[in-house]
Amino acid sequence: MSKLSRRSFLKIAGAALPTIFFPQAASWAGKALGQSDASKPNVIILLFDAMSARNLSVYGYPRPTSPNLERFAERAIVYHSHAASANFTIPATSSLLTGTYPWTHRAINHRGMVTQSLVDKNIFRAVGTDYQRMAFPQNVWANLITSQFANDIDTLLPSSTYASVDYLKGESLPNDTNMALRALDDFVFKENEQASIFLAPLLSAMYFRDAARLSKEGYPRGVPNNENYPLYFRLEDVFDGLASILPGLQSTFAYIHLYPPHAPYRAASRFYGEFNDNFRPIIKPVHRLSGHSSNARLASARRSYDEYIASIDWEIGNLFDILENEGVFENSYVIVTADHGEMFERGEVAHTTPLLYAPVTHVPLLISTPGQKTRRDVYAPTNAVDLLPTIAQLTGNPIPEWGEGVPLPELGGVEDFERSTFSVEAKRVSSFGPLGIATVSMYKGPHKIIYYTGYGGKDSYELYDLESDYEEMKNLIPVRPAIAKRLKEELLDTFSDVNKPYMK
Amino acid sequence: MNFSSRFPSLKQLAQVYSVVVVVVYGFSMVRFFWRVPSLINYSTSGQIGVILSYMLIVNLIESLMIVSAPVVLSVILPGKWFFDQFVTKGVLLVSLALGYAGYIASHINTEEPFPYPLFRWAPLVFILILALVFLLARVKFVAKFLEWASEQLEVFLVVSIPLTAIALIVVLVRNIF
Repeated sequence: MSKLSRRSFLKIAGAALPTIFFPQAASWAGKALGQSDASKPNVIILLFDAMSARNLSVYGYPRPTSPNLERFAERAIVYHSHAASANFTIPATSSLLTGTYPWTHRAINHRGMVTQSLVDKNIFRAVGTDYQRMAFPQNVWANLITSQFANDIDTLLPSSTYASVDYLKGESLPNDTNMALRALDDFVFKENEQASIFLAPLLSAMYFRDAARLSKEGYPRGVPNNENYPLYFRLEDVFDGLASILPGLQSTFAYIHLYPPHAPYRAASRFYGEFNDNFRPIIKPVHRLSGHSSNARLASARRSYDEYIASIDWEIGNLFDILENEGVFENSYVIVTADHGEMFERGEVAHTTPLLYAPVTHVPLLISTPGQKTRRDVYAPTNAVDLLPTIAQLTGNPIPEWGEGVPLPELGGVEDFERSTFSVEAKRVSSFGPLGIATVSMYKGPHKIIYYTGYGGKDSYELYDLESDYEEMKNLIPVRPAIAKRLKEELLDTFSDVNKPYMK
Repeated sequence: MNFSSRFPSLKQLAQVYSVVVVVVYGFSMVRFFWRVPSLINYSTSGQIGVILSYMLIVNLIESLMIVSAPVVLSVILPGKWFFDQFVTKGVLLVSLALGYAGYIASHINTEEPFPYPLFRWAPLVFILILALVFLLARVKFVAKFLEWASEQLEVFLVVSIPLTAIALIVVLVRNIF
C-alpha cells in the first residue's frame, strides 16, 4: 500500500471537511464537475489582502520576498502600474467586485455596504450563469461585501472554512449571512464593544480559551488570525484546502479573497528572522496625517510583514506546483492580485490611513492565460475597476455598462497612458453624503496627483512623476505648475461631479 | 417528589423575568444607541431595524437562560429553601448574578487584557451570591421592597414582549425565505 503523504492527507481532508460542514460546497463541486460546459476556461482570482506590490521582489523589492511569484510571472502578464481603487478592504473589494469607484458604490466606511442600486451589478452577475460562480472570502470584511451578492453566487464558502478556531456566529445563518454578520459579529458579540451582558462575555471566554490552547507550533509569532473577528487559521490548511478544490474546477469563476498578509504578520517558523538583514529602506519625511510611528517601529513592522509575505509566497509556490501538475494552468486564467497595499513609511504603519502613497495603492496584478508559457509586461496604468470588464469579456459576456473600468491591456484592452484612474479614501464621511473629508489620488501618464480635502486647514495637493521618482519623494507642485494646474482641474471636476448627487 | 408543585406561577415568573429583561435588554439598548451614529453612516433604517431585531433575539435567548436559573433552583430545592420566597430570592439571584456579569462585561475592552480571573472566580462568586440570596431574603424590608419593585418593573414586559415578537418574525422571515 502506498504511503499517504501529509500534504495528500490534508488535501483529502481539506476536500472533505467543507462538504461535511457546508453541504452547499458538495453540491457546487458536483455541479462544477458534472453539469458545466467543459469548453469554457476557468477564471480564478487569488486575491491577497493588504499585499503591496512595493514589498514583492517580483516588482523589484530588494528583499527576496516572492521567488514563487517571480516564477509565476515568467508565464504571466505582469501589470506594473496597477492601482487599488481604495486603501482598505471594504471599499477596495467593492470596487473590484462592482467595477466602480468608491464614490459610486458608496461602501466607503469601515463596515460600509454597496449601495442597493449596485447589488445586482457585480462581477458574478457579469460572468453569467454559464459559469459556476464560487467565492471564498476568507477575510470577514470581504465577506460583508461578497455576501451582498449572494444571489449571484452558486457557492459562497464561509470565511471560517479552513479555520482552526472559529467563533463567528453570522455564518451559521446561510440565508441571511450579510445582516447576521453585521448584527451578531460586528455588533452584539463584537470582541470589545459587546452588546450582550451574558452570552457575549461567555462566548468570548470560550474563544480566548480555545485560541490560547491552539498549538503555536510552526508559528513563532502565533498562529495567523483575523484581526477583528474570532478566527484563527494555519496557512498550510488554507492552501491545502485550495489545492484540493481548484484542480476540480470546470467552467468556474472563483473569487478567492485570502486574509494574509494582512496584519497581524505571523510568518511560519522557516521564514521567521529571514530578513534580519542590512536592508535599509529610504527614510521618508513624516506626513502630518500619519500615525507618527517611529522609524524603528516602521522597520520592525516591515520586517515582520516581509517575512509573512515570504511565508505566503512559499505556500503559493506549493499550490502552483499542484495546479501545474493537475493541468489547471492549461484551462484557466489565474489572476493574482490584492485589494490594497500596506505602508511602512512617513510615520504610518498599515493601510487605514488618509495617505494614498504607492505602498498602499500599488498592488500586484499578474494574470496567467490558459497555456501561457512566456512573460509579457504591461506598463500602462490600470486599476482594480478594470477587472470586471476584463473578466466579463474573458467569459464571453458583453462589458456591462455600469462599470467605470476598461478591459486590461493584452486581454482585450489597449495600453492607454493618458487615461485617468483613481484611488479614493473617505472612511470618515457618510455613505449618503458628499465626500467632505477625503483623499483622492489620480494617475495620468507618468503623473500621480494626490488631493487632501477636509482634514483641517486648506485643501492640499501633491504631484509626483512616478517614472523618474518611483519613491514619491519630490512634490512637483511648485516646479511643474502647468501640469499641476491641468491635473488639479481634471481631478476637481471629477470630484465635483461625483459629489453633486449628494449635495443638498 | 412532586416537582411541578414547586414550579412558580406565571405571575411570579413575570416578576422575576421583568428584572432580567430590564437589565439584559437595557444593557444592549444602551450599547445599541451608542452604535447608531456610526450605523447611520452606512446603513439604511431598514438595515438598522434588522440589526436591532437580531440583538433582541439574542436578548430573548439570554434572558430565558438567566431566568431558568431560579426556576431550576425552585424546582430542585425543597420548597422552604426557594419556592416559598420565589420572587424575593429569584430577583435577588438574577440581580446579583447580572451585576457580576455586567462587571465582567465592563472589563472586556481594548484597554485591558481579557479578564480571565473574573471567569475563574465565577463559581465561587455564584456560591457567594447564593449565600447572600438566602441571607438577604430573611430581611423583611428587603423582601418587601424586591416584591414591590419587581411588580413595578413588569410594565417593561409590555414593551419588550411585542418588540421581541416582531424581531422574531423579522429574523425568522429573513432566514427562512
